[in-house]
Amino acid sequence: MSESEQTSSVEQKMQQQVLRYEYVLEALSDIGDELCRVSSFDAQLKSLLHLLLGTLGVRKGGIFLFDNYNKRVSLRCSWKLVHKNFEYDLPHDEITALEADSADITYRAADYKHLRGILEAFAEDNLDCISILKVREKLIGFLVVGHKLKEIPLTEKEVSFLKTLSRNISVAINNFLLLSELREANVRLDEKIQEVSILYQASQMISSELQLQALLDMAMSAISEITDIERGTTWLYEEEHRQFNLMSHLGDASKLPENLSLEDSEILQIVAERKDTFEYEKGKSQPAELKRLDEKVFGEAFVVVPILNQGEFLGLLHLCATAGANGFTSRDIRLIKVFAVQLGAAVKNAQLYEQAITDGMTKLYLHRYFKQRLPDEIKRAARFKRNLALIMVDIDHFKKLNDTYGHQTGDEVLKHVASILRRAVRTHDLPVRYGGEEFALVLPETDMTGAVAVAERIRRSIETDFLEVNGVVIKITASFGVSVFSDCADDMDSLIKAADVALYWSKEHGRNQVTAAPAKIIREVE
Amino acid sequence: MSEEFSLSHQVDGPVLIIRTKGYLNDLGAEQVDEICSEHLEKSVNKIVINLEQSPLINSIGISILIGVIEAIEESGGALAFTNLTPTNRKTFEMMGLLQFAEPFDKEEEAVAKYKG
Repeated sequence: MSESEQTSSVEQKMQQQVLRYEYVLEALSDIGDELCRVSSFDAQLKSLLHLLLGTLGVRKGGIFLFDNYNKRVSLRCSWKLVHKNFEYDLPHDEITALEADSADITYRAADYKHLRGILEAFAEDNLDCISILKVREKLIGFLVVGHKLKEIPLTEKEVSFLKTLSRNISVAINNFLLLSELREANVRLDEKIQEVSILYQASQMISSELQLQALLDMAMSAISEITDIERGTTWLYEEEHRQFNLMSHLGDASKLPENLSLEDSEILQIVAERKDTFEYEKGKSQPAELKRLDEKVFGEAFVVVPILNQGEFLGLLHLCATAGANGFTSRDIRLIKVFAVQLGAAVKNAQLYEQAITDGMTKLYLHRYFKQRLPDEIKRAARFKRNLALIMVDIDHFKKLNDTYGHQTGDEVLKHVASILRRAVRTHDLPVRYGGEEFALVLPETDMTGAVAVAERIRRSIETDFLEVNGVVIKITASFGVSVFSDCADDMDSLIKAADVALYWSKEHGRNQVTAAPAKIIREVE
Repeated sequence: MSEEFSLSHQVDGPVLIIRTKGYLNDLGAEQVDEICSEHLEKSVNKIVINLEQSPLINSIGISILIGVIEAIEESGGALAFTNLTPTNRKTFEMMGLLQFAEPFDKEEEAVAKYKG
């Protein structure tokens, strides 16, 4: 061989080597590119594996990832290996060994002393090398590669390429895992924000409502915003009678009683005693069998959430998930519980307010509250050009009743009449204890004909509903005066006066009757 | 690089002709492997891969072509690459692919040889 021929052969070899390095460099830059691509983790892993195999000229290989949580490695991506899926629990000492052994990461599979269980499972693949994937002593997994075509093993140079590429793949995988953790955290954060905003809206709805009835109606619709429910009820506990009163409901309520005694319901007893949320599903929860009443009221699968305020048991929410929804998720329950805390405070507020504006004995609104509300109601009626009726009621011969039967019986009479009034009114009507034996009813959006009909109905009820006190049947009657805004009067004082005058007319003309105040025009004519 | 990988194939007598289009860096290139395996099973084991429209082949593409070479070797068939760009040819040579597959300038030449 001549000198020039020798030179050119060395040159050729050099050129070949430069080409090979260029090719590896290209693969490294492709790994970098791969990191920037928006694709799934599995697609990225597959690309990384192919990049590696193609750079080394190897026929097969796979990437195993280590799950630090359950200490298990699994084959996440493979090309031409005997197993497509493979899982293996890593013993503690193996993990320590793999993480500690930081000097080198790439070994000939045949000589490697760790992970024997896995390498033997892939014996058929005649694997050539194994590289441990880790970033700063944290084990990510490992990768295996087979031989080149014709079962030729990798050269020492190629093993060193494998080592470099493996390091880069470790970083790529680690980055991807960090990124997906970040994405997951973001999704969780978004969910939290959404939950908080739902709760905020729901709490906003209920926080300023002081009327118990309206409050609990709102609570039901707020809950249906939080989660899908088929049916739901709210109950408030009345200590005095040890019973729960139905306050609001959503869905079919035809089978629901107005109140439930604590004694009769096992479910109520459980919730009142535990003061904690209680999920029930027939056949899965205790008690195995529900009493018929409980099943009728609550159903076969439901959740009951107590309404508490600073430990005081106020009542409960009862909810049935939409059919087919397979119950409530833990998120639903969590949100409802948080909402129930807000509701507890709102209910307590409303109860305190109601106590402040109602008469303890008759449970009717106080005169003070009447004086405060009536101008608002008149303004509202004026603005919307609606009628507003006022009925004044006075029990006939109350003084005589008191004198004959005593004050205690007198109180019973007042309570009796008050309960008739309470039953006679609609949600937005205002029954008031006006004075000693005098009552008032404010009826929004009611004209004279309607108001007189209401008054007449109440008059008849009082007359016919006998009251029995200590075995004595007491006959009660009452007189009524009705006035209407704006037919009879334009302001509060004249509206009250008109009703009063009409009431006086009833008293003067034989009592136990209803008198309508004359319209303004007629009065003017007179 | 943005061009998506696609391919078409055709069977001409005993020969399977595959024409690739686009950068063989895409996982779509695994299709080459799938189509070859399919035909090898049907004993069509002379394969011509026309790479005219794939001027850039990186290591992902190489890894897939290695898979194809191995499968053809096992079945005792023959493989030809045609219309290789000079760069691709150099890469194929360096990676030893041309020890197992014959390069042709034109697709017809390879097909003619395998049919003959």
